[in-house]
Amino acid sequence: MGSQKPVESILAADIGRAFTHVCLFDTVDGVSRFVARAESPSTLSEPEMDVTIGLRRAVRRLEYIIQRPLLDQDQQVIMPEQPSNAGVDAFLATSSAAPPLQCVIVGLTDDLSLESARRACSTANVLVTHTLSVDTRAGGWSDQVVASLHQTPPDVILLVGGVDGGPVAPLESAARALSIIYGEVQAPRTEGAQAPRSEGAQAPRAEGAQAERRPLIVFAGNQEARSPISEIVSSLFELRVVKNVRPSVYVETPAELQRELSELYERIGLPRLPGYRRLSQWCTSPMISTTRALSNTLQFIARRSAPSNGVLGADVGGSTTFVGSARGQAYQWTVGANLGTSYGISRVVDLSGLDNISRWLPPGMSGEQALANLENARLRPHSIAQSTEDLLLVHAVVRQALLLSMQHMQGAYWVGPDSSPDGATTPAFDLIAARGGAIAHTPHDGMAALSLLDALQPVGLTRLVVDWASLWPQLGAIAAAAPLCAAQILERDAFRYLGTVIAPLGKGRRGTRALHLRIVHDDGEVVEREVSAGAVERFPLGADAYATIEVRPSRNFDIGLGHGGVGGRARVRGGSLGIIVDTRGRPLVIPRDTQRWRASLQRWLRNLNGDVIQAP
Amino acid sequence: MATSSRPLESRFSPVSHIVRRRVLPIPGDVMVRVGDRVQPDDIVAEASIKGQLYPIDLARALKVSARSVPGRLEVAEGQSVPEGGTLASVRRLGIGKRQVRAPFGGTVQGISEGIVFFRKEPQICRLRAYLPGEVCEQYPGRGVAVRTVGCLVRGVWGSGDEASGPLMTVVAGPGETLTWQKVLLHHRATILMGGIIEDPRVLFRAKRFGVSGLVAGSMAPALQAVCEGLGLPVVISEGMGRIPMAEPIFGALRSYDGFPAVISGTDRDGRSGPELIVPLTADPEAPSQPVVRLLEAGASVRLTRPPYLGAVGTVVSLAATPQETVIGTRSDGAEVRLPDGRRVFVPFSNMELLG
Repeated sequence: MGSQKPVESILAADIGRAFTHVCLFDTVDGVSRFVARAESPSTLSEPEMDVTIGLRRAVRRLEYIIQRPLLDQDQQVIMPEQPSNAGVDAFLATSSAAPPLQCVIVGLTDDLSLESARRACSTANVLVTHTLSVDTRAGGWSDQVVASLHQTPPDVILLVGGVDGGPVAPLESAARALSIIYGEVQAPRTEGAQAPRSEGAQAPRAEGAQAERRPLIVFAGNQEARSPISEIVSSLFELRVVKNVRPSVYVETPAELQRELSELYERIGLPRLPGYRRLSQWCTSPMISTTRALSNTLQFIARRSAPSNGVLGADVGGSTTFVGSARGQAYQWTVGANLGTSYGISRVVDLSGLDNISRWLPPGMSGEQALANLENARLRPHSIAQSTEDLLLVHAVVRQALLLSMQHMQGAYWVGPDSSPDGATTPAFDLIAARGGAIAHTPHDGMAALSLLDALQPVGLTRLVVDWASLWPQLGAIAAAAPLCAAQILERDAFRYLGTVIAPLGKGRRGTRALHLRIVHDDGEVVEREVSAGAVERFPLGADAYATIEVRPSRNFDIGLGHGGVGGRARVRGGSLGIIVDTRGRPLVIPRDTQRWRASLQRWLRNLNGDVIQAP
Repeated sequence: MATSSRPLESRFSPVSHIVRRRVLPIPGDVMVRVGDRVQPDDIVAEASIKGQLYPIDLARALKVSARSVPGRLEVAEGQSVPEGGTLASVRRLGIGKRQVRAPFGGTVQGISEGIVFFRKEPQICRLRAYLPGEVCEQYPGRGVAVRTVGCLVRGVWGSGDEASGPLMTVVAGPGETLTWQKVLLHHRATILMGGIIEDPRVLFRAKRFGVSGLVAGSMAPALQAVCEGLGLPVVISEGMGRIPMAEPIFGALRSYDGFPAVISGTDRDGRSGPELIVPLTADPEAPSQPVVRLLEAGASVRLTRPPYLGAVGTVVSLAATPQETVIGTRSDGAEVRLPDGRRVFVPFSNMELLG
């Protein structure tokens, strides 16, 4: 941060596709604290088509809340902070609002390198539009493939294939074909080429620019082919070379490719945001993607609190769903591009199927009506749920978006690509940190908690926290520039504690004893309860309160100690919901008779105090 | 310092100045000048666009190895070939030659691994004016902006391209379902207005009878794919499901029954849809309302989420601070009077300006 004055106040923005969130951080009694936040719909599309318009509205709203000027008469952020208390010392921004990079994977065989490349793509804001295997003539350069590549060039072509030291000729051939296909089109465009605009007119677009540009090639294949590939394509394309994603049949090395794709989103994707240049001029540090910022925050949490079982983070946004786990130095993550609760609804429904959405809805809500309401929510991505049914529908989408991401985490990291993730359980985590408008803005924490339990399916003993003020991405940006500030804010202001979850592995007949729970509060009060199998219950324990719990499971249930029937004792922190016990077993098995299941959901919701008032 | 109000986009304007930009996908020639009067079908700009690229697998067609294809070629890279011209051939013992001919006129862009990449002849891309009106701005080599006065309905969903034709109302009320029996042969080249579309036969029949486009309040969600498949311009004003068209929109459009109108079902490639515009007689006094403006008491608003989805209300007052909604969330918003007289709090996020 380049100002001469030490940075005390920071205005930080996270620009999502649906909403722009701004947070003000300032020094209070010598410690960095979160002061206030505001939000406004993002303005990416017609008629405004300039992200700084929505950002300014959010900042104006923040000014109204804190009664402190932040923008000058020219609508610029006042920097540095003035003696009058106007302005801030730094402005930082993160964003996930740019559409995911369109990527075509070109490889040689249909399973190994291509699969590794696909997995790497799922860790960045990248949407794989085609996967092309060119070593078989039949399925390679078909009319449709060539027409598609030519008419709608992707942003990135990911060329993979071949173990290190293997044959080079097929890769050269693929590179030559790409050179022919894009031989007459223009070089890649990274800055939005916009036609002039005037007041009152529909804002212009980069009309047709999509049809006349050349993609960037990332080569992540056989190292021996680097030089010949470079000779063939580098005069036409921007070529990026990273480590072979599959250097041998049994080894996968995706890290360099993952990093490259994340950087490309920031280098190619974010600059396409309308108004990006103006926004960049405000920023005191380069703008980063929300995914990277969240990753920073999660790893920061894992390092600061050093929980032995690590942290699982989940973010369900309007257009992107992110799940990441940080455990010691190990960090694993997935980004569900176009999976979300507004813009991303269609893909959630397409990948899940309407039946899997409906199973989370109350009995009596028809699938047809649910689909219509989902479509209406998608068509008006800035709107928010205002009725009970609508809210439950949004949470059905939250569950499915998270389940899809968790399935990917299972397949990519936890059970391996060759095993079925169906019977797999989530590894134990000490902390689950969740965020996203649908979770943070749910009127009752019980509803948010049940969605997280259903989708993330924590195991053992886990604390559950949410990003109540939508400030974790901004913290990730601050952590890179001012880690002490980030640490101070993180410790004091970043979490709302929902409670501690006890979720044993195992199965038991409904109604039979699953565990005996003894809670010893710090004031000496003792609560003892038996919890039966197939239940979700909660026991009050205040947000800042601690208690010692003693859990004695039945022999069918394992509380994470490796054996059924083995009990344990732990000191736990409370939250708005206190201590939550989930004895439904892991993985959660949803019966075919969804009517009964849906009725059970309502009971669990009531137990978690997640009832919402029926709108008139 | 700031107000508690929020700027909202106006989705319907009974009469106002409308400007639409018409820009080529690539540089070309602009055919009109500032001040020229244009009609919807007038060409305002054109450009030559490269033809589509096709792979032709010569090795497979000649039944030879990819390696031997270069020796069988009768064309070179960059060479123009007329339709039917020979690309490659191989002599077959005793029974003459096996030949691969160009399926259309084009240019050999390149050859790799026995595949020739063959580009079709360039095509002319012609850009229509879309609106009847006056050219008010020119972008040299790219296009123009056309201005008119008219009634504007911005759709929440649309499909298909741009079209024009007289507007025809075929339902009696905004909540009436448009049935297939109401789509008739004499509706050819017209834009039909209905309340709700539920039956795919409406779309099929409209397409078959050459209807220029459809505008409706709502539509069954499953019909979205049907619309996209047919390429018929369709504009939906309210949303999916069974939502009547907002009364002010229906009333205005019904009053323009028989008037020439233009419809655009898409916002792709620089188009301005989904929207329906009824151009009106040029009136210099017509307001030029900003598309986005601050909400004020008395404004007519459309509510966009259940339980009030589709209702049109009037803003009574703006809340100075976030208020609690009926389900317990807190949000900035306004008190709105519904048609049945009830006053309800609605978040700004869940309303759109009408008029």
